[in-house]
Order: sequence, then structure tokens, then C-alpha cells
Amino acid sequence: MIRTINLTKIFRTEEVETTALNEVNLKVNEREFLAIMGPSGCGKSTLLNILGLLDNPTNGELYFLGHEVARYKESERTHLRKANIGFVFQSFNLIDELTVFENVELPLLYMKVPAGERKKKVNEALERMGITLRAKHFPQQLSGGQQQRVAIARAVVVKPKLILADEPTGNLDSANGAEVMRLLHDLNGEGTTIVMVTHSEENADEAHRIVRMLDGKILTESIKKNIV
Amino acid sequence: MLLHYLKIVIRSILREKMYSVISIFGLGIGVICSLLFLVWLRYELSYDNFYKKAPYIYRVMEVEQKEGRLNYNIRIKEQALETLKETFPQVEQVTYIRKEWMTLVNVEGNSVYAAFCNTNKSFFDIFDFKFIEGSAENAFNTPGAAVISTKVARVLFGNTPAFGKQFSAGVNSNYTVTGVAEIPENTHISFDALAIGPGFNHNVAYMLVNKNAKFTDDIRIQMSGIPATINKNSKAKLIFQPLRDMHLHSDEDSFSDSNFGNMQYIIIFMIAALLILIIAIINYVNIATARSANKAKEVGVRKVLGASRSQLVYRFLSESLVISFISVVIAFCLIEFLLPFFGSIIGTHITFHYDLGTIAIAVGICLFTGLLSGSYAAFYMSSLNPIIALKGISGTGSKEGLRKILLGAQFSLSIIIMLCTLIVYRQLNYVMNTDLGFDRANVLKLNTSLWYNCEDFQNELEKNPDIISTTMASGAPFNVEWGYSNVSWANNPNGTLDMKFYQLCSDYRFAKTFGMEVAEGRYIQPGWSWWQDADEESVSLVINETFKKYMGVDDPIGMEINYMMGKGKIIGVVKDFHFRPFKEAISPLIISYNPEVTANMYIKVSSDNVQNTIKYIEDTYNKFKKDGTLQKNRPFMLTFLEDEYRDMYKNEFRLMKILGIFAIISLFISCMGVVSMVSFMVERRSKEIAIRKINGAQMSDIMHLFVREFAILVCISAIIASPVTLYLVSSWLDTFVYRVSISPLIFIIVVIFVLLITILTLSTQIYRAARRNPVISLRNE
Repeated sequence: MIRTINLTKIFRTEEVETTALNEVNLKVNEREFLAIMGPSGCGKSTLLNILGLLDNPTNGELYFLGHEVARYKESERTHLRKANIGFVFQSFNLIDELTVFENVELPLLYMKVPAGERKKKVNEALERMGITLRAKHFPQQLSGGQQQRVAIARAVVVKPKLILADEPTGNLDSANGAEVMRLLHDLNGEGTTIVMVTHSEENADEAHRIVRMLDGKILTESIKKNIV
Repeated sequence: MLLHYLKIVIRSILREKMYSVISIFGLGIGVICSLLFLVWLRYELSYDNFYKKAPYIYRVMEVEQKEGRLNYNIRIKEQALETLKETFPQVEQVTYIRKEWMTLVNVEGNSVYAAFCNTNKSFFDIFDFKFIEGSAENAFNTPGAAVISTKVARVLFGNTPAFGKQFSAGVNSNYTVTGVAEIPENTHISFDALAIGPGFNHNVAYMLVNKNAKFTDDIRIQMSGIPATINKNSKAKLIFQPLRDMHLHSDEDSFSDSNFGNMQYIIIFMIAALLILIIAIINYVNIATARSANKAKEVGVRKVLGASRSQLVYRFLSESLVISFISVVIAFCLIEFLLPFFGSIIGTHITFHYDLGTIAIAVGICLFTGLLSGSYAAFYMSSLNPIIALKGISGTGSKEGLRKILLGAQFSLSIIIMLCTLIVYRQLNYVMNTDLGFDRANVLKLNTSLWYNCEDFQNELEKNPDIISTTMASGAPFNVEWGYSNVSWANNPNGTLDMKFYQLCSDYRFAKTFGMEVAEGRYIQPGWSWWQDADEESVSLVINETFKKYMGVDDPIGMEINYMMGKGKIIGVVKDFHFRPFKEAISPLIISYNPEVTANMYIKVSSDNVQNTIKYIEDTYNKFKKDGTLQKNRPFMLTFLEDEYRDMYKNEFRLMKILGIFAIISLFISCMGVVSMVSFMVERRSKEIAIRKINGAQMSDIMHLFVREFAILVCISAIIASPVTLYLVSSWLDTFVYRVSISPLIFIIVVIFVLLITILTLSTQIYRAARRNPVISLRNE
């Protein structure tokens, strides 16, 4: 599904040049659950952002669903991203002015899905995450666990091929964290590819494969399970 | 998607109430200002524009180049109009209107003092009016027919039909009403009663050009050569002014009434209104930028979820458009209440209609305000990188600089408007309080129709100890209007001098009533039967010192002068006084005695018991009316001379009032800008405040931290505002010959004032922030 060849990302400011990714070579297979680990500042989130087509690499090649997308313009990346990739963040990133329903509906709006179909899909996603009763609530009225479930509902509502999760349990207590991991696990079981950045060994153990990074490079790769 | 944007906009307005109120309120004020002035502009532009044939109607005037300037004459001989019509096939119709104020009386004795106008039969072929009774076609078919205005019809005949009823105008002239017409406010072709009658060479003339004919420059030149005035030696040429240009593009001496507009002032006010709107928009942009940190996460999320840049631009523009829409709605709700107040300031009665034009103005303002105020946030926010946006942008660096620049711009504009107001005020103060060379205090003006034999009335008045003196004159000593040229005197080496001079007619009590000083010779003497000493044949003239200076002689007494009105002999010289507005230098003046034109009585009274004195004057007036000395139906028209003096500068007073209001508004909006900026700064720097407090900073230290920044900003704004103000007020003051100097003290006072207001505005907020427990601020971090 994804392949990177010598992927490099350098951040430049007036005074400092930082190499966030240094010739990373990585392959993500369809239906795979991949965990990326490593200390803070090792480049995990940068890699995730580039895999999610939120940013372009400085050098190297990036293949997504067979297309070489490393030099895509923002509009092209947006187009590819909105139909194929869902995001789950540590800080949930829900829009405060929108209700739970409207937050989940947002990606469908940008895909110009008709209203009737939107309603159906949003309700399905909410039901699946067990938050139907909270549809009319605003994010601030929900607990952290509930907010993250809304965020996951929003990520899956377009039925993306790939979900990128950046420390999805980082802001949650253990019970809610476990619940989120169960949801991601179920999604993967249904065929969605998942790439997750995490600090938690326990969560990483749920993945098929763990990639460990240090200083912008992949240090080790370990296969935990086979893809079913 | 639109619904989605509307939803989020309304929710965010409700969530951040303080910012929303400041934004909406600020924009609302700006919108109201611009709306009021646009409505006014529309009204001014509508003058004489509603006549169906307006594009083909011209006012016929005469113009002559004299002393480097154009002198206009609007009184055109009827004969000249007829010649125009007969000679040039392009001219379809000609008409004139001669206005005279007189008393109209109906059979029952109801009377009204009104503008009675003479015209010819073509009048209604050129100008179409709405007839409530009768019709334009049959208006002048019978002798003695008259068309009256609805206003006069109501006074004379109440609510009963006026058609066919009779009234008299002036002495021994009876008319039958053949039509009642509605006279709109926005026209100069107005009348209270209109009948066929001669223009006596004292009329305003109009012509209608055939709409299929080509009214080319060549034809205009040919037409301009037609002789048009009584003065055979005149080198004047006819000119043809489009009717629609009359109101706003007429030179001052081509006015026939005082309602003429002034394009220059309209432009000044429109610019000022636009500046207020821009200050309000800057306010909005400032608040929006301050809030951009809060909005960044939303931008990030939307971008991650697939929003395109244009969709994000729409998102933010829709927010500013909704806020601008709310402001426009508020403005429209308030405008009906504000219009009378506004009308009283600008001196025009404006009505407000909800028609297509108004809707266009509303939509225009809404779009202009919404798009301009929202575009910065829209384009800036939509350009953010989603990753950075999701991390949350901090409000540091260049954007704070931008906000300061914007706030500085607000301050600069406010300071400019404030300084202009103060300097206009100082000039008007100077105009009102400078010694004019005579005393105009406590003088009443009685509009009479007396020509001869008014002395009995004057003597009767002067029996009252509170009446100091009375005089009859052609006009007030500060506004002498009759100007002439071409004058010669014996032994003048230059022969006839093409010198502009003014003439005033008065009786012998004038100098005493107004406290004027006679420098040489004597003033007009009592007991003259006509214009001269009983033993003299020429007109006895009193000249002013400037006239004497022009003559270049040491002793002008006894010298003879030839001018347009005939021969005159100088009997005295008065000290120079300001007999024209301060916009003109003191020029040569002739004062003579001519009871046929001295129809105004000036009554100097003591400042005590003014009400009783007025009552006494009225009683005496009524007594003489019964005697038949005074015109029977003439109403009692007594005014304060000071009002007439003030009226001479009504444009300037209007300028001062409007600028004053603008100054308050702009300062107020700028203060709202300070509030929003400070509250944002306090929010952003709460950690800094806390750390400083932990390290021993006092309340005053924290205050100083913020006050210093704003004080510098105000000072820089003042430095930028000063040269702009200097340029603006200098060019305005240049229209006055006698004017105040621009004192640097005013600049200092304004800066200190703005500084104080700003400090006052920000201290309450900083006080609250500085009192906050530092532990809470640090915990929040």
C-alpha cells in the first residue's frame, strides 16, 4: 500500500537545520497493523504526517496505492487523502463549535456526499463507536474517551483504506485507552490498514509489526503476528 | 456547505461573546455612518433628477471674466429667451421663474407668507409635477389662473378641495386655483403659488433642448452670443448649465436659494464616513487576527479532513459576512431613529425609503465590509500548513506587529479627525468672537415692507428704554451682497477702474445702531427726503477706508464718483469693517441712502428683558398694522441677527458638528480596539505576568509593562497623523482670508487626551490580570 525509498525530511529555519527523517525505507502492506515507536523527537510524527500526505518529503520517493506522490501539489494530496486516509490524534482535534454528529459528518461534506447518505453513514459510524446518544452534544460536554471515539468515528466514516493514529491513547486513562485499541483492532480486522505511532509497548504489541526509530532513522523492525 | 458554515459562524459568535459584541458593535457604528452618508449622497444626487425631461433641461446663465474670476449672473431677460427659441431650432421650449415672497390671502381671510412665482405658459411643458387637483395641461388656460403647492393649499383651504377657489397675492391681484401640485423637497424649481406673469428681468431661466437635436459646442458658442442683460456694455456670454448639475456644481454666486449643495463638503464627509468604516474594519481584522490562534486547530482539522484552500477561504469570509450582515441589519433598524438627528446636523430633511436603491446600498456595504474585514483572516488562515495549524500557532512575532500597525492606524485616523475638529472649532470661534469693526450683539432684525414713513414706527419703538436704537438698511453690515464694478472719479489717472466694490444702503441711524466709527466727514444725515442732501443733486456717498486707499487721495470728501447707478459725492469715510464673510478680504464699499431698498429694520436692544422687548416690538407692529402704515397681511418676522451671522457659516458649523461626532466615534472604536488587543495580550502573557509577580513585580510594574507599549504606539500614531492633519487643515483654512494660526499646543493636547483615554481603557483590564493569583496562570500553562 505504501512504500518509501530513502525518504528524507529536513526542517530549515534561519539558524538551524534539523534532519527529521534520514533516508527512511519502509513498506506498509494492505490490511497491516503497523506500530511506530521511538523516543520523542525521533521523527515518528514527521513520518506519519508524510505517510498521511499532510507534508511532502525533502528527498526520496513515496508510493501510495501505486502512485508516486512525493512531489504532489497540496491540492492533489488533499484529493487523494480525503478519500483514502483517516486520522486519529492524541488530542482528538474535534471542532468545538460542531456537535458530535457534525464533527463526524465533516469529511463527508468535503467529499460532497448527498445529505441523506451522509446522515446514514454518520449514524452507522456513531453506532459502531457506541456514541449515538451523544450525537447532539458538543465536544466539551464529553469525556476524553468519548471524544476519542468521536474522532475515530470521524476517521472511519468515509471507510478509508488507511487509518493513521498518532498516539491515540496518549491522553486517555487505561480503560478508555484499551477501548480505543479494541476499536482500532476491530477496524484492522475488517481490512483497514492502520499505522499507529505510540509510546506504549502494550499497545504496540497489538500490531502485526513494530518499527523502532531513532534520530530520523529506522533502527529495527520486528514482526509480532502475521496478517490474516 | 453554506448551512454548515452559517451554523459554525453563529455558534462561534455566541461562544466568544465579548469579541463578537466588539466586532459587531464596531462594524455597526461604521456601517451606520457610511449608510447615513450614502443615503444623504443619494438624496443630494437626486436633486432635480426626477423630471422626465431632466437630461434635456438647461439653466441659462450669464458669465463674465472679471478680476481673474468668473462672475455669474442668473437673471436673464425674457427677451433673450425668446430670441434663443426663435433663432435656434434645437431649443424646444423656454421658461423662467421669478420668485417673490408675499402674503397670500383667501376669501375667508386665511393668509400665508409664501413664495409667489411668475412664469410663462411653457413651464409645465418642461417641468412635470404631480398634480393632486387639476392638471398641468389646463393649468394656465384661463386668465388669473394659479397653481399652488399642497402645503399652501392646506394652509389656505384646509382639507377641502382648493380647485376653483380664489386667493389674492400682494396688492390687488386675485387668482383662481386651477391646480394643486406636489413639490418635492429635492428640487430648486419650487414654488408655493405659480401664475403667468412677467419676469421683470429678475428671473431664473431654463430651456428645453430637443432630445433629437445635437446640442454641440458649436451651437453653444453661437447661442452664447445672444445679448441677455440690461447692461449693454456687458461682455458677458450666455452659458447653459445642465439642470442635473445645478445642485452640486454651481458657483456660489449662481445660487438662487440657500439650499444649494456643496460637492466639496459632500466629498469630505464621504471620506470621513469611509474612514470610520475603515477604522471599524481594522478593529474587526485586529480581533480576528488575535483570535486566529484559537481558530488554527479548526483550520488544521479541516485541512486534514480534505478541505481545499478555497473552502477555508469561504469558511472565514462567511464569518465576516455574517457579522457584517448583522451590523447592517442593526444599522437599518436604527437608521429611522437616527435620520432626523442626522438631518438636523447636516441641515437637510432626508426621508428614507426601502426601495431597490436602498437595498443595493445595503448589499454593497455588507459585501464591502464583510469581504474587506474577512479577507485577511481568510487568506492567512487558509494558507496555514495543517501540521503547524494543528500544533496551534502562537500569537507572537510578525502578527502582533501587524496588529500594532493596525491599532496605530486607528489611532492615527482618530487623531487626524480630532485635530481637524479642534482646528475647525478654533476658526469658528475666531469667526464668532473677532471684532468685526461694529457691534452686532443684541440686535434684532425685523423684516418689513416699509419704504417711506417708517420713522414714526422707529420713534415709537425707541420710546422703550430697552430699545437702544433702530435703523433701516438693505442688509446686515456683515453680509453686504450687492457687488458692482467700473468706477471712476475726477483726476483719476487710470480713467474708469474695473474695480469690484460693494454697496450698502442705510438710513442715518445705521452707524449709531452698529457702533461704527466715522473716520472723516459725516455719515448719512437725518431729514433727507430721498437719497441726498436737500440742496444737492448727486447721491451722497459714504465710503470705507479701503475705498479711499484705492482712490489714493488724502482727502476724498467732496470728490465725485461715477458708477453704474449714476453720480455720487463723497461726504464721509467710515473705518473699515468686515462687511463680507471672513473668506474675503475687506474690499471697497459705498454706503448710501435709498429708502426704496432699505426694507430691513435692525433694532439694538439691551440684554435685559429681551422677551418683554420683543413683546413690545410686536405690539407696536400690530398697532401700526391697524393704522395701515404696514402691509396688512404681512406676518411679524423678527429674528436674531446673530442667527443670520451664524447662518453665513452654516457649512463650516456643519463640518464642525459632523467631524466632532466622527471624532468621538473613531476614538470610541479605537478604544474597543484597545480593549480587544489588551485582553488578547493579557491572555497570551498571563504566564509572563505570573512569573514577574512571583519574582517580586508590583502592580505598578505590570501596568508599566503594558502602558509603555501603548504610549509609544499613540505617540508614533500622532507623529504620523500630524503632517496629514497639517495638510488637511491648512488647505481648509486657506479658504479664509482671516484665520487662526495652527498652534502646536493643540497637537500636544490631543495626544495627551488620547493617551489618557487609552491608559484608562487598558488599566481596568490589566488591573484584573495583574491581581490574578499567579499559581492559577501557571497551572493553566
